[in-house]
Amino acid sequence: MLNLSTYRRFIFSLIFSLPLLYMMILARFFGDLPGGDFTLFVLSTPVLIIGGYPFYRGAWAAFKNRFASMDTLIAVGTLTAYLYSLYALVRGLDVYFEIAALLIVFILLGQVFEELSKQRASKAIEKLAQLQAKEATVLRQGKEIKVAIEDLQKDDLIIVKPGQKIPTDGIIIEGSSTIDESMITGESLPVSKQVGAAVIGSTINKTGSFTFRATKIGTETMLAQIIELVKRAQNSRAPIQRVADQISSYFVPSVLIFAVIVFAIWYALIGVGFVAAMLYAVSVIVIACPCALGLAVPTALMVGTGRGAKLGVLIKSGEVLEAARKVNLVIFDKTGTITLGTPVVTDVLGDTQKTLQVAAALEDRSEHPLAGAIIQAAQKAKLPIVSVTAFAAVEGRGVTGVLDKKNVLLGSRRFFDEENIDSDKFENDIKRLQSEGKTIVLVGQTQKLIGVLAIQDKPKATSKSAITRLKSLGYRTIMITGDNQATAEAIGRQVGIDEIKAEVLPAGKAAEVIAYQQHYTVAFVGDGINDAPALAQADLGIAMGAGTDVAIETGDIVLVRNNLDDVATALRLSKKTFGRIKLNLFWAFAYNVAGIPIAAGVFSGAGLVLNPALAGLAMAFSSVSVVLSSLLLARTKV
Amino acid sequence: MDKLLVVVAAAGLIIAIGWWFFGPKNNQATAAEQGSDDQAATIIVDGGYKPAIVALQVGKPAHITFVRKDPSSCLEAIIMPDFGISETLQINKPLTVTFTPKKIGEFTYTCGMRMFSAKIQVS
Repeated sequence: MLNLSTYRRFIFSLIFSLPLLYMMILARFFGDLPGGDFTLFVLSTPVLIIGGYPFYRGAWAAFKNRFASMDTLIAVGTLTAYLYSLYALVRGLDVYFEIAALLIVFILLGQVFEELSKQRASKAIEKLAQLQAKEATVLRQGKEIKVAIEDLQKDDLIIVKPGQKIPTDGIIIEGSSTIDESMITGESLPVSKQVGAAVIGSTINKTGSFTFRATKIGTETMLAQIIELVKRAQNSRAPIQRVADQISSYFVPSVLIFAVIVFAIWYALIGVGFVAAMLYAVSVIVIACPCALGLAVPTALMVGTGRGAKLGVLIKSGEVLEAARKVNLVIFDKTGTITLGTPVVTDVLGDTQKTLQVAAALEDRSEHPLAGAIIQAAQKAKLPIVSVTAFAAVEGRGVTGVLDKKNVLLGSRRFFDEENIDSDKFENDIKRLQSEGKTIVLVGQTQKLIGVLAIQDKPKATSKSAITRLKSLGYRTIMITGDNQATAEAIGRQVGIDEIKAEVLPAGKAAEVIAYQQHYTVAFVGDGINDAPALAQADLGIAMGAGTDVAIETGDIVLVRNNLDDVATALRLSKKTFGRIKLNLFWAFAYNVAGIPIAAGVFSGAGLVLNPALAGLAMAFSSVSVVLSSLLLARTKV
Repeated sequence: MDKLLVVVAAAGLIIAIGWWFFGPKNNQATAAEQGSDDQAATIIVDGGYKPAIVALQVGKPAHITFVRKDPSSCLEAIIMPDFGISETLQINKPLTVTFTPKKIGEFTYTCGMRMFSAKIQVS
């Protein structure tokens, strides 16, 4: 009996209760069932035993612990009706067996729906988990052996052939290939990877073969972390939930007390018969069942975050939803967020070879985002790259070093002005390039300017439409960047952003967020590594890109795809989910608040009463409607 | 006359209900078993959580084993938002969750429907 599923218990109870339903509604037209009240007793008893057993067991266990739960209400309600009916059967009075049985049926109906919704919601997680590969081919002691995914160890050398699923996170040590990473990063074009590149578990290898060293296994992999995040979010606490929590433990005993008062008033004060008073009390107990309240937040949260996961929008917790709905200003970091983040050298002014060589020598050690572009340009020009000695970086300005015993430097115009190096020679060209949205990097040797590099980090293809969408939804948009004003303005014009803050030092981004927070609720969009303080300071931090652990750590919302469009999606989904939670709570409360007085007979003068069976139906209906409302969240447009 | 009896009985019942459910409960914290570098406790899930308050030490990995004996659907899920735990419990199948409490304080965890709750005290 303990192990009969909710669904089976429901069907069993339904079958036995159908004749009872007939008795309640149609008997007056077509006649009673044979055997009269005794038949009712025979039909309803199995329902109470099989269908109702877990409620009685639970109510008793809770009672011993001095707790009262939903089971307590169901137990007291159904047993009162049933036991009285036994007494009435013996004494030849009217019986109410059908009420007890139908109550159980309706409550089970509500529970069946609840389980359905939980299954649906956890499908999102299941689908994510299914992405996981089941086995891997490992190179151990010179032999290739197949191992189960659970038996993988860190630093294992894993061989991947074309068409196979990559088993876990790692770094390629031999070979190369193109890999379909769409399931994790949303990148629709396959990415080509060479030695030294990172690969992500559960992505699909396309054309080449390669060997890689496992750097992360089991729960440390990107996929596992995403799953964990979604799971946590689905069960996180929304602040609005606390109200519901606090009420719970006092609610049921209060309802019991109220039911006793209702009975006493009807019987002793107003003077209706014992049975009528009892029915009022039972109705109160049944309608007060707070199961819809317990479902209101969790179901919506589950469906909302699950849907987000499918769309590549990872919402970290229920609290995030509340922040998201208040946002009215979105601040974007430029590099890597609005732009591709992979700049390219487009122009070289001055002595091309020398400029590139010196620049590459200086940037060889640098981790500056522009360094890659410079090195690439030098490689393309087939120039040998030598490193400088005495390398020093000046934050937000440039870098210096010594090459061939000469002092060399590279950096912004501001840097060269501060170093008193004249750059007027290229004044017009610089202005022209900047107006094209390019970043200007000056290269100098022995206190003289030898050349200028123009580097461009183009906006992503989706940036313009994403910003347009956000603006049409009523958000103000701002772009913050360390770049100079002219370049920033050029990019800003290209994507249609409302306002630009240029030449902001990395440390200054968080300060800018604070300044705007005086008047707005601010969302900051950036990639985790460089923008962590700003992401943390903002009311809502949206981290882009699943390539780094840092993104997952610092963002309130993590956008797995590198698509700016997802910002609007994330905000809309959060708003809708929160709205659904509020709606659910309202309905759940409304049923109880409106239902209790009616069940208590407060409006009986106006003919508005609620008999226990109807009360049970209403209560099941409230659970079902909350669950359905949450499930519909999976279909609303975002 | 019998109406008076009913009123008296009702009053008595109300007082009994109030005292039983609202009265002071045994709120003694039960300390977890301390190992050299971790700690463990077992919680029986039956009409609630026994012990209702478990005391843990901060910074040490904690293994909490839940044994569910209660078929009530309210109790089939265990949710500990402060520790990121959300699991389903099968009847009579112990389930151990592991986490490391990082902050000092009292943390409430609940069943799936948030009807039953209990506490973890971290010091």
